[in-house]
Amino acid sequence: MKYILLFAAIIIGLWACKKDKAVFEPTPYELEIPNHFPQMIIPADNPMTLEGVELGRKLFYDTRLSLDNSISCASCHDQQYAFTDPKQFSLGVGDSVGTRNSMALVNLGWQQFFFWDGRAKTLEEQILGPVPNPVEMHLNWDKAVIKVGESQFYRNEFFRVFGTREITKEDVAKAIAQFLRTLISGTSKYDVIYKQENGFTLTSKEQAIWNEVTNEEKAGYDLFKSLNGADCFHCHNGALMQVQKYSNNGLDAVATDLGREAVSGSSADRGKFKVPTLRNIALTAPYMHDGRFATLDEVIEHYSSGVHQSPTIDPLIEYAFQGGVQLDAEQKQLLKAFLNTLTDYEFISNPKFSKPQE
Amino acid sequence: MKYKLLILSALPLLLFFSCKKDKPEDPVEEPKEIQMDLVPYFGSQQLYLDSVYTTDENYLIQFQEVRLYMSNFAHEGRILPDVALFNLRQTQHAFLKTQADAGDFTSINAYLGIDSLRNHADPSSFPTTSPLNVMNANDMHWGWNPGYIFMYIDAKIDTIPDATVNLDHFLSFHIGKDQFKQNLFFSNVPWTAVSGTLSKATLKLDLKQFLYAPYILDLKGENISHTGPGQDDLSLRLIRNFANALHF
Ligand code: HEC
Ligand code: HEC
Repeated sequence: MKYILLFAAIIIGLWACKKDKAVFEPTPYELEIPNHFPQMIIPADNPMTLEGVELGRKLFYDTRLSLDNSISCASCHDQQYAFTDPKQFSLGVGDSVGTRNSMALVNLGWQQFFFWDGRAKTLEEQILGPVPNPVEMHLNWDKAVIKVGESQFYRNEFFRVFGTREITKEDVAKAIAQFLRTLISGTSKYDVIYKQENGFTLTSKEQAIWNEVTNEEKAGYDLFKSLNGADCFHCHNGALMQVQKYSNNGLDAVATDLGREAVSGSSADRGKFKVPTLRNIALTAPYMHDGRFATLDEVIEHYSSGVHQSPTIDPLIEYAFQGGVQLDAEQKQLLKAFLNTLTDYEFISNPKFSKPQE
Repeated sequence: MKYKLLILSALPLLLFFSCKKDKPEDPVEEPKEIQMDLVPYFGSQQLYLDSVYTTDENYLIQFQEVRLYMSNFAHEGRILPDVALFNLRQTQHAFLKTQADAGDFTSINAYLGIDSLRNHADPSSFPTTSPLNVMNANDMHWGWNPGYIFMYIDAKIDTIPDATVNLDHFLSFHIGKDQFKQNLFFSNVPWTAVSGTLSKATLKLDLKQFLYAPYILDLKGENISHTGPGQDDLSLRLIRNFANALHF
């Protein structure tokens, strides 16, 4: 009798708190954030779950989100190139081309705005862009959502993640955003250099990598940071290797692409673009918003002697008056050696980020 | 039977507790808060970014960024843990809002800059709400060794006094590093009570005074310092002038 009453008490206790009898039970996802990175702020309305990340990964690699089932996000954001595209201008549906170079998808959880011109403020908002874009996937969202909903697999997965049978574009974006937030790159040689420089205790694996850092790479890093050297660190800096701002780095005397101005409407923003991360930079050619430079040598030459002055050039391109920082041949090699340390081989071969099995 | 009764009487209690998230609290006195705003001026007029002002030399000057850090707000042994970041473009006049009793801070000592301990700590380790967290500091942080930028001014000027406006000359003053941290002292802070718990005061930054006192800056020739090697003299004059331009 005693036991029956106890049992009843527990059942009633549980039942009294239950709001609905939903059976979806998403498992919280623990992000693996490198110990030299800041905390990632996750939007309250899109908490990370194992199921959500897995669903996002499926969608990221699914060509169903394009008009003729030919293109997925991964077509222009390929893991082996740090989730960017080696083409200057990516091919969208029907081989349409845009005017901007694809961007690397790295450490997106710390970005404060998205696209070269910052026209999206959140990752969720950003993801709503490429699907209907005529030079990308060219599929209007109503149709995209219907196509996704035709699959029993997706209907079940969306229920497991969001607890609703109705698939919406917002939920598609949320799931993909969850996956994108897991694309964290923090295990390059540069990370070990950064940790060593700043007094972190290195793991034995990191110590072994540190032992392999060459004098050229160290000298290149010094140049990178030096005001009288390459002077790069004002904009590409810290654990994330970028600061969050728009800047005109002197590509053109007269801007051909207005950049941020097209969004803000202010002529003070002419030719300004999002400062990109330099992580995995050796893998993400071609370079700049329009992919105008094919190699890192060309980029270095730009900052060294090819800078064009204009009314909106960033004052932190300090040697613009003389066309750039004027590096000699040896310095250019050192700088390039350093830029190569930013490649994160674990990141580009991480099986959690690759195309999922069918 | 005894047990049954016990369990039965425990049942409503169980029900009660199983749903409860937190206990009701005794009404406590709401903590006192202070709010310090910072408003920039150019002489007697309020200063706005991207507007053009005229210096005594008849140069035209247009400010593009005005930012600064202050830390270690203290009075008679009380030190606030807060760091205040002013960033005119991003957060307008907001500067410091924290729990403290204005009565305890009738005068204030503070640093223009960051105390050396925090200046060289891991910028990723501060809480996400802290102005020192690297995501908030952003380009106000150079690196662990040099630390944070204490004062950050970008402007454009026209040094040719004629009828045309041609702002083709850059000013860029980014001063940091421990040796340039300045001690500030403000006596008789004019707090006004805006509610039972909140007191407010407005700090002013006169960017015209900044150009002339105590050192007269030669904007034509001394237009850049990023606290680099060989710029110590200019850096010191800049940050002293900046500290001197702050008052209630
Ligand atoms: C046809 C090629 C193409 C496809 C397909 C594509 N993208 Fe992109 N992506 C780009 C280009 C080009 C940019 C830069 C566009 C710009 O700035 O105007 C970009 C930018 C981004 C960015 C901004 C990164 C940053 O740092 O600001 C994100 C995030 C992104 N894409 C995610 C996605 C997702 C998710 C999908 C699938 C839903 C997708 N992309 C599909 C080409 C593509
Ligand atoms: C004043 C800020 C600033 C400084 C200083 C600066 N950069 Fe950049 N960097 C940018 C901006 C902005 C872009 C993107 C410009 C665009 O696409 O229009 C960029 C782009 C790049 C790219 C291409 C990235 C990509 O994904 O396409 C590389 C590589 C690069 N910078 C390397 C360097 C190096 C090396 C230095 C030092 C010699 C340097 N930067 C100094 C602002 C800066």
